[in-house]
Amino acid sequence: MVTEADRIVQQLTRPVSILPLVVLRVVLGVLLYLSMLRFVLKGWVHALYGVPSFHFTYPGFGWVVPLPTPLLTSVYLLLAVLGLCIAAGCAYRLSMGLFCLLFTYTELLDSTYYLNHYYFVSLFTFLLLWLPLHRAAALDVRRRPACARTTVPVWMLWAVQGQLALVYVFAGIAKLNPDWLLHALPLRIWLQEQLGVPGLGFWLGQGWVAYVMSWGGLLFDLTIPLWLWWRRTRPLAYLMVVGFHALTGWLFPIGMFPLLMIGSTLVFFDTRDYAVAWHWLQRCPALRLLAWNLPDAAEPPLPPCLLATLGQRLIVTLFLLGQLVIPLRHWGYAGDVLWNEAGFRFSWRVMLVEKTGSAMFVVADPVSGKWWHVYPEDMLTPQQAKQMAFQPDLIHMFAQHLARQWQAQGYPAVQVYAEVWVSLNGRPAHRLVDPTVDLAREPRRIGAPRWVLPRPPQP
Amino acid sequence: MRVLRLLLVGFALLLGGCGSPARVGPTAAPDLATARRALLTRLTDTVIVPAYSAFAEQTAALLSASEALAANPTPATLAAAQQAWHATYVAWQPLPLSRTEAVRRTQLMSAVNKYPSNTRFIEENISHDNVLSAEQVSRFGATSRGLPALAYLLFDTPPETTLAAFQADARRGQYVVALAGDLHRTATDLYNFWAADGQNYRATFIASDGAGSQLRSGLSELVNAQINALDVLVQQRLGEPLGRKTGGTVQPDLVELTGTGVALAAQIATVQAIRDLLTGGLAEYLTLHARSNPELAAQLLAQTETTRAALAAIPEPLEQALTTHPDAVATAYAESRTLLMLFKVELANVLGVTVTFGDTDGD
Repeated sequence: MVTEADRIVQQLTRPVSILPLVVLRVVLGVLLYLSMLRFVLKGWVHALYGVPSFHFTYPGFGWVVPLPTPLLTSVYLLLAVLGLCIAAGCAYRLSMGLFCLLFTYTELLDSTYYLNHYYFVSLFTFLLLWLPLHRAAALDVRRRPACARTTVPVWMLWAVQGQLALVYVFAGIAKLNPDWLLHALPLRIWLQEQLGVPGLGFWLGQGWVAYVMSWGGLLFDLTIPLWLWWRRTRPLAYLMVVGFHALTGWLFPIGMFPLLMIGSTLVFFDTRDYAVAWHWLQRCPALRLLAWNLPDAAEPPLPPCLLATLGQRLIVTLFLLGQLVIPLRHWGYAGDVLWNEAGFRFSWRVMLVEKTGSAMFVVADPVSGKWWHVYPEDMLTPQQAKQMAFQPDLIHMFAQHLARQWQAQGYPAVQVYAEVWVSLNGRPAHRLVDPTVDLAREPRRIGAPRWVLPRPPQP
Repeated sequence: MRVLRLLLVGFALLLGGCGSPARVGPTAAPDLATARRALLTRLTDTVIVPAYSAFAEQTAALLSASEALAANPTPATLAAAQQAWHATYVAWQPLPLSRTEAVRRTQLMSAVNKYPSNTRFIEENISHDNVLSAEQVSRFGATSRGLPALAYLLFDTPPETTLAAFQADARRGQYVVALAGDLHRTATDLYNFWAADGQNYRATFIASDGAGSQLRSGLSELVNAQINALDVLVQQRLGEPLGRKTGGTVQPDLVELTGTGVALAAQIATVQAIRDLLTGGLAEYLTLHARSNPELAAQLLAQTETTRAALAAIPEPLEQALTTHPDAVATAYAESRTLLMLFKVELANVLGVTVTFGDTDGD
């Protein structure tokens, strides 16, 4: 008797063509290569990790410190090479695993540089590490032909598509707030700086365009995985993906994120889509030379050097389930996440708020009666100071750093207070931090600290 | 490319058309692009370029006074030269408020007010027998030219000693004339850089509205320049002499160009120049377009006035007031900080201006 569970297992292990995963591997590998090379060529290794004398580490990762600039540059160059190895399917598991490890190391060095798409790269490479993207059209297969395969269980494809869907849907959920929906904020503010765009400036200056783009972006994020998944709407949906990311990438300085998403969402196309595309490409005489037999999903699966193990499935399942919880963890914290930023990172809050802050620290020694005003710009890079000025956990970290510095200079009882003003989405500035609380005595804790003042009322 | 851009906008509109309610939010805003262009035009023509013009004129007066001093060093000509220097330093204060990237690249401003001066080099030049001319001085490093170098020669010692030095060594007067001539030429070059009948940076600046991800519109650069000027006012010009970085011990020797008595007048001029930008159109623009923060324009105007008044309430010179009237100086410092916060946090936020341009990605 076939039980419901059996049917589910059968459905999840149904073989499908490996082609979408192979395409993803090649495209992603090339993009990772370009990203890493770009990082080095722009001089960011030294600017972001060599110049600062202090780094904002993540809780529990204080031991992760930057290597000297030449060595760290070598790490980025190695990452670029690993990107090419991934694309070519060369020592795939090692390349993907090492890429994930080294890239995550660089991201753990300083939380003021946190970007959602960096987080995405860490997650995505970790997920792909467990999947056999190198079993076709790869150097690994050329070396060990016995390991070649044309199909994978469908759950593997769904896991990758699910990861992408998580990004979009949570980015959409994050937009469900009054500022985004009712006031078209922060887009209305950002578009002011785009009025010089040739041909578009006039439109971007119209108030209603910001509303249209806000609501359009929300609907796009919430529903695009569905349209990509549904075969009938897939081509149009992909065009929308390209259009949406091209527009945002063109208007805002968001680096490689648009290309990463445009490239990664190719995984939603199946063999039939590629066959159609291939058919069209063959009409071009120049491309006939590139004739290549597409893997056939109907081909019976090869046995086995690669059947997914139970451990593999378990890791992927737990990994994806974890991501259902992490972006919503702020529900367990007091206060507004857009204001206190408790649970803001790692939750796909992409381009969600316009925040500006100004911070000044008062360091006081009750024994000698001396006191100092410390402006973060004197000790941090502009990028670090700017990010710290509106993120309470970073403010606390910097206050503790100041306390340690003064203690080392012979002021063991030093107190540190913060004068921090923050403006959110164009509203009048308000104090973010209680200026009477000695941050040197406050422990680092998960969630919203008690010394973060409540968000000002909305208009 | 143009077709692609139009397609992208069409796409954006299509997206919204699919799901946006028929009526959301307030009615359409006035044409923002036109308003911003009008604002930049007005500020450039009525505030910024006139400030460059006034500075150039003042340097001409300083050159005349310097020539008079060199020709005939008397208490009267020295006092006149000192007075002309004082007025020139005050006239200089509005210019850093329009130090955009393009202005910075001309490297003209760095030749005007780089301090501390390299006094050893200046004295060496006076003691040599080389020709002292504006051309010669223009080849010197920035710390041996400009207003601080002139201040060193005109104010460094008590008036009687200064005068005696000019009377004893004619080359001292020649060096002052050369410095003033070089300064006048730099000021004229700066004016010509902006002027419509010169290099016409005026037109480039007005047209430089944000485009794509470059995040460097004219308004954005202007706001950043105000923030930088206020940062310097708070931290260096007031904070450091007040001892805010030295455990509360006042540091009179850290007053800008100490001994010249110009510090307070210059600081007031900075705040006044910021206020001129507000009254010259920025406040009106905010009233019309900063709907999420409707009080901001009035707040900025009030705070510039409060800050100006707090500075004016400090008795001259600042070096003495630090010890005789510390509360008055502390009040001016606090008011300046509030003004800085309003610019750095509220104004930048409401305009979507990127404070401190960086070259990294965001998301």
